[in-house]
Amino acid sequence: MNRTIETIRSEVTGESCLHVRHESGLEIYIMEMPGYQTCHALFGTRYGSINTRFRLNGEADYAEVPNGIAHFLEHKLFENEDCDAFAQYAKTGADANAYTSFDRTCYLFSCSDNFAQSLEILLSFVQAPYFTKENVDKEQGIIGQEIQMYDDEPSWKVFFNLLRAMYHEHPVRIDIAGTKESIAQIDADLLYRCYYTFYNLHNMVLSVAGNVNAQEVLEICDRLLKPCEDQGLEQVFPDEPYEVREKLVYDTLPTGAPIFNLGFKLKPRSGLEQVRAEYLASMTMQTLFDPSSAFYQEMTEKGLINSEFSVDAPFTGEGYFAVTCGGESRDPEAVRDRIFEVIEDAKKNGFDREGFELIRRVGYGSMIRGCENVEVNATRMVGAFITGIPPFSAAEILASITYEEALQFLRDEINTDNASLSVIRS
Amino acid sequence: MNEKEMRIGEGIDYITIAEPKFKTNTIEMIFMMPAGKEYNSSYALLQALLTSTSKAYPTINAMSRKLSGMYGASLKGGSGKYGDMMQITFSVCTIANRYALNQEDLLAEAADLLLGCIFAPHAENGAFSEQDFRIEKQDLLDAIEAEINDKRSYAVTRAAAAAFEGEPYAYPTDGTKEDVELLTPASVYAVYRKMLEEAVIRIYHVGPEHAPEIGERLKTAFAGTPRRPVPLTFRSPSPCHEEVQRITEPMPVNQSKLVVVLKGDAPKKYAMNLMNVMFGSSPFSMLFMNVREKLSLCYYCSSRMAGVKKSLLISSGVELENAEKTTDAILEQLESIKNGDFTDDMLEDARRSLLNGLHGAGDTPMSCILWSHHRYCDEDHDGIPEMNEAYQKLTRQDVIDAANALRLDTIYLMQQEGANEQNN
Repeated sequence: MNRTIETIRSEVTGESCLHVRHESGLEIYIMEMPGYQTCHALFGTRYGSINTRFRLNGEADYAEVPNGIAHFLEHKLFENEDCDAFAQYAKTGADANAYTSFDRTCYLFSCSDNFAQSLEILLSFVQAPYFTKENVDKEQGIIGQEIQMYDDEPSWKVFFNLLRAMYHEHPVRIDIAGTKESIAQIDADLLYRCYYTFYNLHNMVLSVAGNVNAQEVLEICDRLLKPCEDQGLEQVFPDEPYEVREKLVYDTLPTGAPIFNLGFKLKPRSGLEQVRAEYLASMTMQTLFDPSSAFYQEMTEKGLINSEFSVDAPFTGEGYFAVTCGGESRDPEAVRDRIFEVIEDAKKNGFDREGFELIRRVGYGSMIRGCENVEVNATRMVGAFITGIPPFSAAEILASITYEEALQFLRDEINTDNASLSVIRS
Repeated sequence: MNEKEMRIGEGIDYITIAEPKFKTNTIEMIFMMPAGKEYNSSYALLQALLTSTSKAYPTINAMSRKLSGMYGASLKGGSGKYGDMMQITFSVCTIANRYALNQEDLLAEAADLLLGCIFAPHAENGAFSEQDFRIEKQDLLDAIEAEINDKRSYAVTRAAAAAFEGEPYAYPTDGTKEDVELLTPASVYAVYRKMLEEAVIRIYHVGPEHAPEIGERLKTAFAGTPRRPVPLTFRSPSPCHEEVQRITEPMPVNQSKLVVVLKGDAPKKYAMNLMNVMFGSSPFSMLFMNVREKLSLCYYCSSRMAGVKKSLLISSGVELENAEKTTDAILEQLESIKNGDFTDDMLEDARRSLLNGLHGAGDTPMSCILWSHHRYCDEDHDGIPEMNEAYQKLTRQDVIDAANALRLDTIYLMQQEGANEQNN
């Protein structure tokens, strides 16, 4: 594989970044930001909690691995054969971390001094797995406590209860960290299998932004990336019906006012069509329900919602797509019913066209604001890798969406009969 | 950071910070007042009232549409503790004028909007609008009730209430539900007037260029307000209890929460910061490496400083049966530092981490404001260069002395009820 380098430019802000397809198979995004002291780097893989069934190079059968293994692997990768990655970062002063979500795992650091050494640590430890029975057993206790911590968080629980209500089969309904029972099945061999499947550089991205020099980044990459063969990774996701599984789910936890999440399950698409659908869904829902809407004012005056209410960013990935909103209410069912009425009314009579234009402006502003932040830029470039939509495309997509298209989307796609409400009370 | 400071009035300063790399303008007003039972709820309510509506934009809807029209400008209020003081903040942030699609002067609009909120609220005859008051009061009551949602921070709040009992710092930031129930549109308005007249006020601007013109607008806006700023106490070390307090509160949760409060003042300035990084605030700290990694007792076990109270709070989420073992392990790590049982490498790692944070200052507008404000509040008005130098000079003995200054004050445990049934 030959190296390709392209410069991608933002028409709006004049910013640019380099997009490199490295001969090792890795995609690299670099944004030099003059005037900044800090750097932010992420080394990520398209591997999250939903990637539980897979095979390589046309193997006969698909492997199925325990829930929570991607997250478990993330914890374990920090331990190398001779010392752990945090101890190495301690020698550079960088602030390091990692996270696992539904569709990705990212290892990251922020620093203002010793960037090159920190990048070397990042590239080295992620490429050097070391799993043993002892270090896997030790982690069970730590992750077990992490799972229990999340079990006590109403905002986490209300969201996962919603996912379980919306989805019948798709692994998005499973907790990212798994359960104490599922992680008990994890051993070193399974971790190696998942590692060599998903931590192939063809499935990975490096994104750096801030006080960095592109040449220096590429030199370090040339030195440390271990070229690997594309292994023809194939994955399957179970067939997921269009309909939600349950329309209403309740749970209890110590909490203040009842908290709720309402989710509309939508048909997932792929590529640019999916990205456009996300913009349409998000702009429509915000126009109808954000603080500048008539709904928000009315519900606030009636005391049915408080300032915690918000429309979330679309929830989307391979095989799932939903728009959600939520907050606190003494009567979540009444809020849901009013939301349904507003949607049905908008389908019939159209909605606030001026409000829609305001939401477009908000989107434009948010895009500009993010550009001044080192971390946001680096994270957005990882997003570009995951979605396949080049950086800085947001402005163009945002400008091209029409009110008529949004109204049609609302009529065709957002179905009040295909929504779930999740509530948690004390 | 390129700062210019301008006197606006008695106890009112305006600091404009220019950073050409930024694409936004932020204005933040910080009002500093004494904290206490009689005021905290009023502050919490008035910051919400002043930022949700104004005379010009008298509904949440009208205000929100105005902000959306300014490309999603943000307008935020807040109230929080700084030792025994309260800081009531109001801020507005908008994209820089050069990105406005119709050549609007967004910075001037943002300044006018914020000043409109502060000086022309939605109020008449010495009282806030009844409807706004009703909405925001309920919102505040909900927020107070929701403190229990985040078990980790709730446990820290409960521990702090016991450790700092009798000091203004112990009082909840938003007050209590009972306090809120006593408030009226007129009583909160009276506190608002008092704040305008008596607070020490710092107003920060951060943007691509200095904005001296905002200073002129501020002078005009404050001209009609009589000023008699109250003297503030920036340092308020907390005395240590003679006997260690042990508090246990049962709750129907899956994981117990442990909070250990230590008190004491390091003889050398900043030595406690360095001690804290090595002891418990970093992923290479002794708490992380031993209590989490070696003993597998928890997912998190970390320390943080309540600097102005000269205290250190350690928090962890544990299985009930491991609570005592974890407490012992935490105190053992502290003992190791007291005895000098740590390597020079560990000390240098901690120093590098502190310096790394310091050298990154000024890369976001909020960090510019934070550092500038920190310098104002610090007893010696230390800026980044002074701190840098001081961090470099701290010795091994300074860290040992800092650890030896700490005394165990309070052990708080949120105890999981029916642990066995829930975990099976």
